[in-house]
Amino acid sequence: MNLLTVTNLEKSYKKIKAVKGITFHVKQGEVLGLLGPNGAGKSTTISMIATLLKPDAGEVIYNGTDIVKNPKAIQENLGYVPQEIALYPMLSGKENLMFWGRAYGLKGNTLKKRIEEVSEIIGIADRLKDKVKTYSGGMKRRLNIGVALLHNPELIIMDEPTVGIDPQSRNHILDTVLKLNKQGMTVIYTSHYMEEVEFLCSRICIMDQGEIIAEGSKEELIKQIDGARDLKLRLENYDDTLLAKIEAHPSVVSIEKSDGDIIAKIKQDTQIIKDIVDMINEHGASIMSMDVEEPNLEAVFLQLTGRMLRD
Amino acid sequence: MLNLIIKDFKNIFYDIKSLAFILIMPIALMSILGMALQGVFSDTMSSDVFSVQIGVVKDYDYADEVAKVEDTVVNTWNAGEYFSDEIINDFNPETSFFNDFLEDSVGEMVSYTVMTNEEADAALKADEIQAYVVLPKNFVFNSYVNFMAVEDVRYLSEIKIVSSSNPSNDFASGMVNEMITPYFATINNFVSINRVVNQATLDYSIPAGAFDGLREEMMSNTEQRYEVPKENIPGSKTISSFQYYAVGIMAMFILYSASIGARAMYDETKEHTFQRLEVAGAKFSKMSVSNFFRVMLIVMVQSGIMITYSSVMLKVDWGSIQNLLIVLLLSSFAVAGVGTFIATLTVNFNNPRIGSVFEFAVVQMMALLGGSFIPVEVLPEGFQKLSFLSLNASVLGGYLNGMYDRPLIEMLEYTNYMIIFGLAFIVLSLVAMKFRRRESLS
Repeated sequence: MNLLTVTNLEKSYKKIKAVKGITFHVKQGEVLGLLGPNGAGKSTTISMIATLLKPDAGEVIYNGTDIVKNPKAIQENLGYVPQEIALYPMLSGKENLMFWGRAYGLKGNTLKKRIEEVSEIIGIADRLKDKVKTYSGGMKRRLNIGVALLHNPELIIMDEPTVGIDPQSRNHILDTVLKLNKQGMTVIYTSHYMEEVEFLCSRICIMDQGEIIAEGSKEELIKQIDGARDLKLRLENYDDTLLAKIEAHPSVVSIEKSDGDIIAKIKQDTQIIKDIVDMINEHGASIMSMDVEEPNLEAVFLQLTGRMLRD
Repeated sequence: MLNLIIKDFKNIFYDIKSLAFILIMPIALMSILGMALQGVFSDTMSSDVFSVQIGVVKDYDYADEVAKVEDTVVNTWNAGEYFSDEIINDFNPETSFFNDFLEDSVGEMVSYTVMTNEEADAALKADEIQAYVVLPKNFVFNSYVNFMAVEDVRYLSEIKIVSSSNPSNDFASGMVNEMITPYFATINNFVSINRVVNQATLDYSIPAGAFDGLREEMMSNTEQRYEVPKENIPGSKTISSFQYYAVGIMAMFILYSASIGARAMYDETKEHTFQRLEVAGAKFSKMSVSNFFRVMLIVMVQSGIMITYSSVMLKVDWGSIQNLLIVLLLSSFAVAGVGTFIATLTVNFNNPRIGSVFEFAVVQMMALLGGSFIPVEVLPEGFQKLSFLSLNASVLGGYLNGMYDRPLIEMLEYTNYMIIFGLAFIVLSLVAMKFRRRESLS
């Protein structure tokens, strides 16, 4: 069942079209990843879903209600984790949780109980009385997420929640997201970290220049590029005729030299490795090392756009 | 809403740096400026800066009436020996009224202009004067006759005081009555004393001059009533330069608080708590209301601290508590109104410089035009005409009104201005909110 359906969504800033008529949906209980480089339109898209921006065109239907016309329909059930630390640094962790809890309509014992639960989930229970400005970057990030969980939302949107933090805090956040999802929370997770999206998301939309250029599970996306992977070779006694011969193989997409290595982008083909080794032997060159890198979303993005995710 | 207000208050009071700026700076500035500028003016500033403007209409011809006096004394009384230029000069009723009374005795409280009846009516209508006094026909003649006569006594009971119909001038008119009536009562006492002494001289054939000592003693006792005791006249208290600058600096400093709210709102947008609140369903208007109360509270706390400090440390007498509280509340309201407008513009244009421009240009200009640096009356005429644009003028006027112990009705023009000023900016804020542009989060 679709919890959220986005259809032909558009948004422009003056002459720049930030989002160009995208369409996707979010199923109840899934973690949907929005992957793309900076400036791909991810934040604009989620700002429209979070009712912060009014779309120029298109619609966002949440549980059967058009949220452009009725923002309240999603606001009450949405936990929003902005990319920035949207907290009050002069207030303590507890005061922040109290304030945001009340902003979402919680009060009395319910609020108190939720603060206890959430601070356990995000692992800052022992620092609740301290001012947020004394927290580490990772703790602030965790509290930033905690604030969005207070009212037990049905859907949570996380906009690059792990930017600029240490690996330990990052792992804690990723584990938290998985835990919340197991408890039934639907998550939209945006990131330009491919590894995070691969780890967390059951479905992924790859965005670039305001468009969704691919959509599906990780396996489905890799399939879209014929399982292409990199074959990294270090050879001795070879020349360009060997490289031209390898590139001419029907299962080789491209070949290039990089820092003494030869990187051949190859399609999923059980014969290809054997064929290349044969060509090298026939040429009389020696193989010093050979490594096959498994296909990933970076490769998908590269194949689809010709650019790296973090270019 | 209460949640937002509490959060805003906590944010202010937890931030030691901004708290110090809000509370300590005005105290320091008040002390330094008060001391530095103490010598610029006299040790005390009386209410003459705010004195009552009156007109005096002479409904007689001085030369004609003196001639009539001479004719009466010489021809009717056959007492030519009592008439001389010396007597005319020694007891000149005009000198007595204008120089001794209006200038020397009550000059600190009253400024007068001699005018014709028509001019006085026009000036009263135009609010240029608050009252006018008509010295009636025969004023000079009767005065001389009373001084010299035994039988033919004419009391000066027909002095007419015409007051403005503008209710806000009631107090000024009252002041004029309080001063003029005792003066003429004093003159009438002169008449009685003079008559008794003259009669006794004649009845008992006592040589002329025998009662001069007694006459002088009795008159001098009576003359003391010329000296209208200022403390008996409401609104005539004097204030020190410290007092004036305590109010002036406060009127200026509270305006800085208007931009504190704008800066706080801008920080919220920059730190994305503003956007997060919007996602939580809080409307911009709600946040603006909270900001309004934040600014109002800051101004009230600032004013309270400055008033307390100046009362205890600088011995500033702020006058009636009632007056003080009304001005404090309304000035806070007015500043909060303008603060809301600046905050709205700052958020609309996503530009923190709007607050800075207000602080460095508008606040200074308002302080200058409104008399925070030097009293408006001392400013060039062009500046004086523009003082109505400044909130400071009303805040100053309101507080000084209390310091002079004037009645509340005298304060109406200031309180009304503050209310209208605050409301006008609230309306402008509401209009500006409608034109808010929404940008991307990042």
